[in-house]
Amino acid sequence: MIRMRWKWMLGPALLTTLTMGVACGGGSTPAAQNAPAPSAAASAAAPAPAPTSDVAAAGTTPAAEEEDESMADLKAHHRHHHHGGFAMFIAMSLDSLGTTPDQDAAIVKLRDDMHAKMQPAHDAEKNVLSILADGVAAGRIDKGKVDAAIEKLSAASAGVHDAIADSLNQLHGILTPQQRIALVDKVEAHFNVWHHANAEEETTTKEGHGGHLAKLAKEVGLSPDQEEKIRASFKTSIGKAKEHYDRGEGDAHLKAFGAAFEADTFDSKTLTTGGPANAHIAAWGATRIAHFYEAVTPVLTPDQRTKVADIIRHHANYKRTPNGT
Amino acid sequence: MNRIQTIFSRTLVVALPLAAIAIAAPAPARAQDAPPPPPAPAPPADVPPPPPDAYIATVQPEYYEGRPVYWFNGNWFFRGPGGGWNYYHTEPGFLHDRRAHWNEHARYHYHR
Repeated sequence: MIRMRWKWMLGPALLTTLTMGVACGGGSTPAAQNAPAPSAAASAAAPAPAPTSDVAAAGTTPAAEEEDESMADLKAHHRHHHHGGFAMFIAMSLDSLGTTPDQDAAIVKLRDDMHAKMQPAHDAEKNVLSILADGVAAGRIDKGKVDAAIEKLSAASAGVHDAIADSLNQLHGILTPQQRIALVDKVEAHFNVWHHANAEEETTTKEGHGGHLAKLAKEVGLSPDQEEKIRASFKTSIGKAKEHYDRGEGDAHLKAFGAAFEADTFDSKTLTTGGPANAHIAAWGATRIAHFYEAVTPVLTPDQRTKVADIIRHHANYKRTPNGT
Repeated sequence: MNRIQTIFSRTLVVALPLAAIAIAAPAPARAQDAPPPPPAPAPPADVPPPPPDAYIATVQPEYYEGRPVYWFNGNWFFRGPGGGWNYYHTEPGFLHDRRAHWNEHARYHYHR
């Protein structure tokens, strides 16, 4: 676990102090101070927290996923969209925080601003996917063009952290303390899903966890022989990739961001790890998917090539919904 | 004789506080000698596994005791101080009441 919730370590002492304050005629209770999002009307009426909640440690391994549509959509998204790196994870996390109507207008404005700042990286990613789609359709991917496009994507993503710094600072001011914790929960979850979806290994056996190839096999009707050839080719190819993803770099940035964002004061400009972390997520994600489609293309039938190219173009032309990413 | 008593008294004045400090604060010395604490016991096999990441990423949490909590597979989960997952072994009344509304919480869909 990468995070240490330092504020919670102060919790018992703080709770004691606050309780004493109430007993001495203090005005506000902890519940009032931690009032949940006003939109969650029932939550707003939450009673003062019980000081001795009966809690226990849960397991350390997440439950085996019984993947529903929402979770499957998310994985497919993270397989094809990497631009912005953590900035994208933050923007996506805003979708399910449970913000109040009073907060919503400001959040929508901030999210639009963040997406505008990420637009150069978004365009660069679209270019990578378009080159891949054209290559798949033609039966041969131009590796030189792909590599050049990935370099542009990496450069564009490297600038995203600085570009959205003011937006993140404003976001911190808009969210309640507990919403900030939820946002960090979600950014970490998005990062884990992204990392899993973009792992170097591509498990394609029927017993496997169902990676990209397993999904593609269903979508375009790959034969077991085709799957095996693609898997072997991808394994060799990705092993020789110029760049590999360093999970430790992402964990370090997430830890720094989480601790800073959950604190009472926050200045995104003090985080120095964001630019490289975002660039490397974008570069690795694009590199991996390029190697994947380079392994796929030679073994496809013409009909399958058309279908796969259409799938890639669909992702290339992805547009976020008015209230989402 | 008086001189001897004076010396003895002065010695006591210095020695007694030092002795008191030594008696009152033996803990660090003991702590240094003490064996390391035993490792935290492994959670029992029947502890519930926390929610998958894809679920946390897409579900709207409830808020309780100043933190987000997530209803999953019959339990309310939340991150603990060290970042690990905890759950309410006994369901708080407020969350019990909110459980009926959990299905109203938005699950976000990232349309492909």
